[in-house]
Amino acid sequence: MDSRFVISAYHNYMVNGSLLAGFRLGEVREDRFFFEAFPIEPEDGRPQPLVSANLFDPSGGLVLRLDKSRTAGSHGLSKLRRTKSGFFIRSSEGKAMLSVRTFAFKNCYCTHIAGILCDEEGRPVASGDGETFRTRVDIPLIQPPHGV
Amino acid sequence: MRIIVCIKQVPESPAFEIEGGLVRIKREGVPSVVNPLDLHALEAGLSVSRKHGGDVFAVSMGPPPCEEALREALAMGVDTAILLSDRRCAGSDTLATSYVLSQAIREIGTFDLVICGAQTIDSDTGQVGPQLAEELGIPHIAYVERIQSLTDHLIIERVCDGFLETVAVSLPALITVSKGLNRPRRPSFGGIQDAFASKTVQVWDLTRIKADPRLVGDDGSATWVKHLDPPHARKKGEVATGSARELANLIYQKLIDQNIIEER
Amino acid sequence: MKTKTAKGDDNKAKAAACRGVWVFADHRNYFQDRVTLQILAKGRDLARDLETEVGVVVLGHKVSEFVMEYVAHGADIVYLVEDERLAKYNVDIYTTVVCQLVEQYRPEVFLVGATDFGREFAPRVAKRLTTGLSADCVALEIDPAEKILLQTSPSFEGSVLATIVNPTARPQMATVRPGTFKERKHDYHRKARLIKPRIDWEDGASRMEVLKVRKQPHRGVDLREAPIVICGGRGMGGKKGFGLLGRLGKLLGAEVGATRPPVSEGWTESDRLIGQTGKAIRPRLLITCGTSGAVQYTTGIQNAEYIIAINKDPDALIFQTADFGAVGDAHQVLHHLMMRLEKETHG
Repeated sequence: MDSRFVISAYHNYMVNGSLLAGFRLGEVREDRFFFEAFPIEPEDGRPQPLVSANLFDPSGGLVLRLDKSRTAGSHGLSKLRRTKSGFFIRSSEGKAMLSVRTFAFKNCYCTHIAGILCDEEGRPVASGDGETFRTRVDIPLIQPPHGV
Repeated sequence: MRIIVCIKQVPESPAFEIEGGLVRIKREGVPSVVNPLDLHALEAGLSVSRKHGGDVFAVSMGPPPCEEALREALAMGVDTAILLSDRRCAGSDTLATSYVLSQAIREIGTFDLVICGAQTIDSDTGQVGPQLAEELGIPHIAYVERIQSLTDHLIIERVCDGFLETVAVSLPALITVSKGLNRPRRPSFGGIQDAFASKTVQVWDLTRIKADPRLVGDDGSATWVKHLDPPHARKKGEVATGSARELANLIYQKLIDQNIIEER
Repeated sequence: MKTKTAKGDDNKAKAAACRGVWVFADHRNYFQDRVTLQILAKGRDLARDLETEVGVVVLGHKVSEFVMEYVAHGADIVYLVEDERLAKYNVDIYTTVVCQLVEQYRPEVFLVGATDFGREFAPRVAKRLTTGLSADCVALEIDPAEKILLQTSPSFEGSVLATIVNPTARPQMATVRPGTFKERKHDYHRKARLIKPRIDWEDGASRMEVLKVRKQPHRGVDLREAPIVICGGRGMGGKKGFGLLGRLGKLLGAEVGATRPPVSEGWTESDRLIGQTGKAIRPRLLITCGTSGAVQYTTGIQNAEYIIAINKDPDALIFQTADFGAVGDAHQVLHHLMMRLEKETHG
């Protein structure tokens, strides 16, 4: 069974060894884990990852809510730092938790994800090292229409 | 070691006639030669057999006059020459040709290396070599410029799209050769004498090589030539005048139109 | 042509079930070598006539950038097989993988650029699939009545053009001469579907191994093989004129040739001679400068695809043979041309 995804000429995220124009892990619910990455179009300016998510730590505590790469209410002292190419999140102890960065080729861009994503029960649902990003097979990974 | 060299007799230069608005390739009365790259292939076969011992077969598919090309191969020093000649082969595309050659090679028996010229000056496709290798179930490598070593496998050097590659291939294998590989020997006087006196060209037909007639000629071909045309006649094009800068700009635009440079 | 029996009808039905125009991605010399993009552009026209989509077949390792470039240049679907085993071009393993893809998805047309690799790889694929392949095509169209591919392939070193058809075997395969088609502009808005097929790696292990690959150092290209040639005649005036041609040649990636007078005068070497007693060339583009157009020269350039001539004399014979003529002083015109080229590449 082969896998089929929509890819863009301009910008894609790298997930499970595949390029994807946009994707979502999990269902969007207030108190549950989800991670949604939106497609980036040429008009949006220099590509930066656009992510909405509910992020939890390994003990199941809500760390951060992201709404289109901006914090929407935070818990504890975790910090979101934006950079020219994306953003990264450190825990209150200063430990790197998540890094989402967009790399440039000559005419196109690719966003890589590094770090561990946990769900509301503290179980890891996805992890990446900056080159590869793998999701747990039982977590739904879909491409919402996103007007694509 | 047994080496098989596939050669082709080709018209020395193209000759066409226009009959009723249709272009036809003229073969009668046109002098023929061994396809130039096939001479390099024969030379390669002969020098490998001199170095490693063994015999060299030259094989060609074509009508009876092609025997001439095989005599030239004998004069160069090959041990056995075989002409595959059968009316039913007419109209064969490369699929069918590679099938016929493979049947002949199977009839010859075991072999270590098959050598072909990279392409012919008439049909120019360069396809028979790779397709013959596929039919025989052996690997192939094209455009060989140097044979580095030949033991239980073959190591060659070749140039491909601006890259110089060193490739190891398991035997038996097929290689196609480029000009740069060697300088073909001229047949020696003794060789020419032998070629006409003691050595003979064997002539095999489809029955002898147990070829299925449905896989040769028109029937065995997947492609047909619908029609032939001369290349677009050179017509006088536009001639522009103007200042040097204006002319340069016009030429610059032509370079874009002709896909030489990218539009910016 | 003999009529086929029931087997023929069976083949016709199988052929009708095949959909899709595929293009093989030859990415090894990208960005310089753009044949894949050129074929994608033509593929879109063919697919429109066949009411189907364009697929690009990408094999390799770490090829994400090329995938996105192909989407930008017209691919509707990307069939991607990424694996370390495919990091180096290898005709054995590439044939196995591509044939598995074709058997699985059954395209009706499969086009490959006529690079060196394409010309040794496509025949092997065609044979394994028992389908027809025409070589080095300089034109492709869909026959409006039969909806099959008309493949125009040169024979006899370009002296005759054969229009070839492949009525029932599928896919219809052709290798395409680089520079034949014009690529489309890079479109950042385009989207495509990505398919990552399953490959059976056990099906035929590779019987060859590429031990070493290195880029060839640039050495003088044989004029007969050069895709772009600049030829100088008496009008170039001397060695300095040929120096100018050499600099233009570097800008365009062109080889420099000459007619008899410059060679006799020692302005350039004798192996540069083009014409009846020299070399016959067949480049995509010839720029002939300060050459009068004597028949001893023009017989050697008949097979050039496109000829641009520059000569001071409006009545020069060369204008009878050229596709575009410029009446002017070659030195000055070329000087301005070079300035424009230098500006556009560095501006």
